Amino acid sequence: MKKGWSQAYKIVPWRGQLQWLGIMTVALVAVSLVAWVYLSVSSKASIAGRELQFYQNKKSNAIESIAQLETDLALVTSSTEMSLRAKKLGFKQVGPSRFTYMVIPGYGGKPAAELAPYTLTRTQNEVITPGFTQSIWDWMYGSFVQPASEY
Amino acid sequence: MKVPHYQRYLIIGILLSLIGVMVFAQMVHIQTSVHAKAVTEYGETWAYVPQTIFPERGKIYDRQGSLLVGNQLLYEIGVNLVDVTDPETIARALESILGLDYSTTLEQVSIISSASSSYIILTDFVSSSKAGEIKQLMETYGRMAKDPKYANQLPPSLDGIILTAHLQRSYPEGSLASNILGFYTLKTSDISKTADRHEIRVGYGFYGVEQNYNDLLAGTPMDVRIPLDPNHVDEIPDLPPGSDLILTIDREVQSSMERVIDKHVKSSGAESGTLIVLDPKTGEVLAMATSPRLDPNRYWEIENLFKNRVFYNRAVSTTYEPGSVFKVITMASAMDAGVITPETPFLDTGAFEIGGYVIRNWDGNAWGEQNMIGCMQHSLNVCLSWVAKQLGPKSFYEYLNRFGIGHVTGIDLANEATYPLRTPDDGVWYDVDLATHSFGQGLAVTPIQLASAISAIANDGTIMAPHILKSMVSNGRQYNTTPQVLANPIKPETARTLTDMLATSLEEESSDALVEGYRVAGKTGTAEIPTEYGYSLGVTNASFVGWGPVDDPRFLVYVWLEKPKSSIWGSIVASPVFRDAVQELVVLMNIPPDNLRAKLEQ
Repeated sequence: MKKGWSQAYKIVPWRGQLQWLGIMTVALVAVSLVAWVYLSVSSKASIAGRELQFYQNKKSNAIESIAQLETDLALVTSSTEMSLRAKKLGFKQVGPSRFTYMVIPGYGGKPAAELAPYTLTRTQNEVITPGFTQSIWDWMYGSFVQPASEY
Repeated sequence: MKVPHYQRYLIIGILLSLIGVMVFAQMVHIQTSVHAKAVTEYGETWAYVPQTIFPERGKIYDRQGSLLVGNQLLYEIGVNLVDVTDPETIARALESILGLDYSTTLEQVSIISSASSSYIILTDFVSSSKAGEIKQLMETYGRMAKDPKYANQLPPSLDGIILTAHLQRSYPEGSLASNILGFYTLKTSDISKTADRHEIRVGYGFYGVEQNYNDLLAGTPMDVRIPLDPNHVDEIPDLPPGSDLILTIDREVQSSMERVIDKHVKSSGAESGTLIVLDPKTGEVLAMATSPRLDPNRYWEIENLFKNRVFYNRAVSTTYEPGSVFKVITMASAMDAGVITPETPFLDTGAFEIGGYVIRNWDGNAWGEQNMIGCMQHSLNVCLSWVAKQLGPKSFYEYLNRFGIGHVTGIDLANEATYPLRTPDDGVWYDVDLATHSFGQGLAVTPIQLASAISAIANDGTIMAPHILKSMVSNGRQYNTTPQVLANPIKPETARTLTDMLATSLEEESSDALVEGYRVAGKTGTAEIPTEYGYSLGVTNASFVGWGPVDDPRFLVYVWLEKPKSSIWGSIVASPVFRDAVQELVVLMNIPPDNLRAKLEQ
């Protein structure tokens, strides 16, 4: 059988050329495929990276805006401002003689401030999976080489 | 001899292969050489920008949640010299919007970019509105550049200007409670030469809460490396902001107390005034008003306002001889030791000799037959000296130690001062000190120290640690502080008896401190001021300490007027301060008059 194949190639040389061509094409396709996967992953990682930077900037801007708005609110409701506004609106301070005290069941006076925020910080790993940041080589190393070296 | 053609191909093939092998070998050599590491490290320095991230500084609130200290958005205006195309327009725009000098700016932005100076800061702390005007102008010029109308001419350009936002401390209430809060400064310091931007901001808290809780408020800065390669972009770790603090003070009470003290400082012509309101049951500071006060938004004016070794917060940092308000401590000690009772008789002859010195009353007169209520009512130095002698130095100073005299209270405000108390164990103590200490001369205390000590009498003999921090909000959780017992210097019965005695004393002398509808206890104090040449004449420290309502004390008020001019007597200038303060307090703290409260509680 082996002899038959050899003889067939000797009789028709283009069969050998065709075989080489096929092997080269398969190799080229394989390399192209790897390159395509690599480029695709890299471009996605780049886009994700840029988006991440964008959102980080947006987040820090939001933090700054919140701080500014909170301060603005405090400025317009400050003790001095409120007194001035009350005077402008014609309000006057009432003396104790004009008070009526009464017991309201369940009312314990002005409550103390409770300012604890409600959200907890999320860890980095929950936001970005390694697939977005590692290269294909990192992935192969992490998946195959490193586990093997642990044994 | 003719070489066959396949051999020529073979030779060429071998040569080319050799070249290839050599190239590969050289590549391996380069990659593994000693220089390769250095080159890689050098490349790394350009691949990342080192940056220190400062967390947002924690905010400070009053006990009701009103913001006392926050952060506001301000801008640094700089130029990237390499991007500047139109220096004149930049200089003109910044002159019209920010008022920067045209020629200076023009000179600065006309410098040719170099490796050492590619970015320069033109100004800082620009408000959001001004920064918005610059941004708007930049957008307008940007649109003009794209407009075909300007195709044949160079439109004005603000290219190169960079606006960098940063947060700056803001005090929305202005000078309100500034003695408690302190202030925060920003200092630009060159601490990172490797940074792209050489300047990094470092802030410091000064005085009060800002200094005492600086570490909590500041949080923990973090050094990160920002990759320039988007493939290596990593999430910047979430940096928790500095802890928010909720204070024990009430904004409305503080504001009201400041108005009261300011009014009386003005009317009495005093150099300064201090007014502390404590909750004796918890040690919470409800208000701590001092005058003068600094607007922390303009902290650089501190040197103009506080000259000649004057302290920022007199209530905790200034020691002074308190005078007769101290008699409360002496009387409490003697009563607690069982040496005297309110009815103990005393014949006042107008003089008391001790250690070769003669102690006299404030008016130099003899007041005849008195009991202890009368001694307190008329503030008799002779009587109190006798009481201290009956108690004995050992016992007297043991009691003073228990009351915390000579020790800091540990209040959570920066720069608390104390003055060492001379005792018989010291080489500098004399017999006469026992007498002078009994009526508050020859020793020095801070207002918070004496207020804290006397709070034992308003709180059944227990001193609660005075404190300003009510709660802290950190990492998403609020932590409330628990009131701490500082000491139990006297028995509850002694405290109640003395409170009743002092209330009676005020009522019998028809004191200016009395408040209609509320029974209050208290004591005045007038102290001479020591100088290098003895006690000054005609200049005093006027004080008053009082608390109420006596059956269920909700507040203790301590008043100190420094060198009043309208009158030197505490009973004339300091007692009305207490009265006015209490009149405001009972309203703000929802305390009904005594008779009504009794009915409501039934």
